[in-house]
Amino acid sequence: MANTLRPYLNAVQATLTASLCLESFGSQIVEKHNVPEVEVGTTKEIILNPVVISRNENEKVLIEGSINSVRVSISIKQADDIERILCHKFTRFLMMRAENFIILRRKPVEGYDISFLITNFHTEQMYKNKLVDFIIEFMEEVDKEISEMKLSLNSRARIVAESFLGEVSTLS
Amino acid sequence: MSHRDIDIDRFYQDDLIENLEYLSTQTEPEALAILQQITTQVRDSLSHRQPADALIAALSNPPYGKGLGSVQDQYGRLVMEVLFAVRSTEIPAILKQLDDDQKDVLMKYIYYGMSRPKEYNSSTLLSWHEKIVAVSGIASIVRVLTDRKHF
Repeated sequence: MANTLRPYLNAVQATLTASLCLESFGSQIVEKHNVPEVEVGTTKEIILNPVVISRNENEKVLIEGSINSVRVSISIKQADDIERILCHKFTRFLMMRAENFIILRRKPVEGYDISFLITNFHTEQMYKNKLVDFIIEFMEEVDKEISEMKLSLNSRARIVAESFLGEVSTLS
Repeated sequence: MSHRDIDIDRFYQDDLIENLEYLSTQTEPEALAILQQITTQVRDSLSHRQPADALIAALSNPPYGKGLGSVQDQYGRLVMEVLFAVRSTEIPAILKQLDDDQKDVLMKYIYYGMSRPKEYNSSTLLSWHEKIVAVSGIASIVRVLTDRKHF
């Protein structure tokens, strides 16, 4: 498991480093506006080719670059219904507090679970390699977090069921 | 003021212009003939256990541009066939025989394969990706990202 995760994260890291080459760029459509070009998508010539890095059908990362912003969308592994619910709750919790995470986007790109938007202002304030590391770490942690939550949920359900059924058995 | 609601950009035929701008210099039958020629070459090399020759042949003349129909997908399938025929221990030796342009084209097809995880097994592609990055750094990734030739 870990041996397929490593090349996947390495590929994401290399691609992110390559695409995080940002500079300030004023909009060519609206005067005095400086907007993330990957979001507005009105100027085609400064948007890079989007690339997808996938580990399998469920786990993939979409990296869309442009001259002043990069959008990273992550699709998190969801093997069953419990994981799907946990993942939904977890990402929703984070995205509701998006301003605390600075680069987090409030809404995921369609088909993905969570999206980050890194603009040139972020790369000016923060180290580029740290930003990349943050996303890599997030991807590592989120899988762990969700499987841990699933385990504790299951064990809690077992305890609840046991004590409930214990109650029933004392009745007879 | 209902005329204000009309989206005039819709009538500006962006798609048409883009399709013309990136129109391929080959016609579909031409590209298909080249593809068949390359396919026989690749199969030949593969059957003689010469994966490096097969890969060089497969990367020699990729069809670029719009208006080529399914030829590009068939070509992608051919490149993937070669990539999956190679054992992972052979990859570094093969990469040594490729020049920079071929590595760029290879990188392009690795991303092509990874964007279709249903059809192609990603872990093989990931190990190819890792080995190219180890050899030539992120340069070929940058060239994939900024590539303007539709394939």
